[in-house]
Amino acid sequence: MKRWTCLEVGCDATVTAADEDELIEKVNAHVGAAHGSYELEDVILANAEEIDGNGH
Amino acid sequence: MTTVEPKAVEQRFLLTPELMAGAIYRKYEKATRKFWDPKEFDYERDRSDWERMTEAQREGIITITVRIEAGEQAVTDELLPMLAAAHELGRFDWVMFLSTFMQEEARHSEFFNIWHREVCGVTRPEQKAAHWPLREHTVDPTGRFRTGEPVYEGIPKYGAALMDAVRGGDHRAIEEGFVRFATIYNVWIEGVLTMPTYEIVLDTCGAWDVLPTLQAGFRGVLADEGRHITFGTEACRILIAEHPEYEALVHEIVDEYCGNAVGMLEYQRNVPGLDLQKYQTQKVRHYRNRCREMGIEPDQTLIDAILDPNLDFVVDVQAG
Repeated sequence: MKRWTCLEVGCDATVTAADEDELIEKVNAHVGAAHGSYELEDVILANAEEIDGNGH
Repeated sequence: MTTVEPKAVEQRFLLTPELMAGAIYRKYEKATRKFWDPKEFDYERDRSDWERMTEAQREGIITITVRIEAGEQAVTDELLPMLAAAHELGRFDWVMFLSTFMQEEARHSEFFNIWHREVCGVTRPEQKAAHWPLREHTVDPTGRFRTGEPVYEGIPKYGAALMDAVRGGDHRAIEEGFVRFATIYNVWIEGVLTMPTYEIVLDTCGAWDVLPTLQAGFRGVLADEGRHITFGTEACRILIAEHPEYEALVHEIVDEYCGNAVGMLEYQRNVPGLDLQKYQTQKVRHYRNRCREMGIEPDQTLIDAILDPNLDFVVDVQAG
């Protein structure tokens, strides 16, 4: 599992996904809908954390 | 002339399984898969859009694209110290990735050159310069911040210092020079200052429903830049993890050109109808991301300055 936390001003949304492709898609859905922006694929991956199934 | 003893045979094989399992080799491998060629684009629709756009719309776009073209050429031409330093530090995976990095910057230079020729009919340097608003036109009325030219001052300055360190052969000096160079180039210019520019072009062309090839080129450039930025921050993270005192070098470089982030710059605010505050606020996200990637703490004073609504530059956007 992978987790990404948004660092936009005033936002601490987290996105979790089973793999990299899903994470990229879900992060850009969040950044587009919430901030009218996008995030680069490699930047998303560089800022993602590995977590276990319990979110740790 | 220096005499060089040939390496032992087993030391001549640099690409080890450990390097091939690492994050930097993965970027190299991805770069070779994601190749794109600006000569394969169709520029016809952009040309017809350009002819029907208003003068203000055309000037808003070309003010940005001429700066980007020159900037891409500058970074192509100034990347060599990073490659030399990676070699001297014995980091062959960095050398491999940087071989794709330099080629990509050259490709970006080519794309904007072709786009200007095919769409705008602009080929000569003096024609492009006529659309270039000078940095001196961006002024902080409070006098607290100065806006410099990090691409044309900072990169050559820190590149020359890094080459001096490489020639000197002192490992620590090369590492420090590498952190400074990666900070000015990958962290600050590519990773924060230029990000709003790409977004302005994509948002504007999307809203006006124009210039699909320019948008496609910007998307290709951005995908490449994502690897460049995260290479620089990963290299800094590795070096800072080994020497935590290097974190201070990052903050010193950012401080030197912090003025360029606390307001929108002249060429970024010449497009009609933009919500500039959106792009200003997003610089904080990019800066925080860069710090997270490097494993360092962002400077809250700088963030406060970027977000301060009372800090906005006065700009005369007349070109030339």
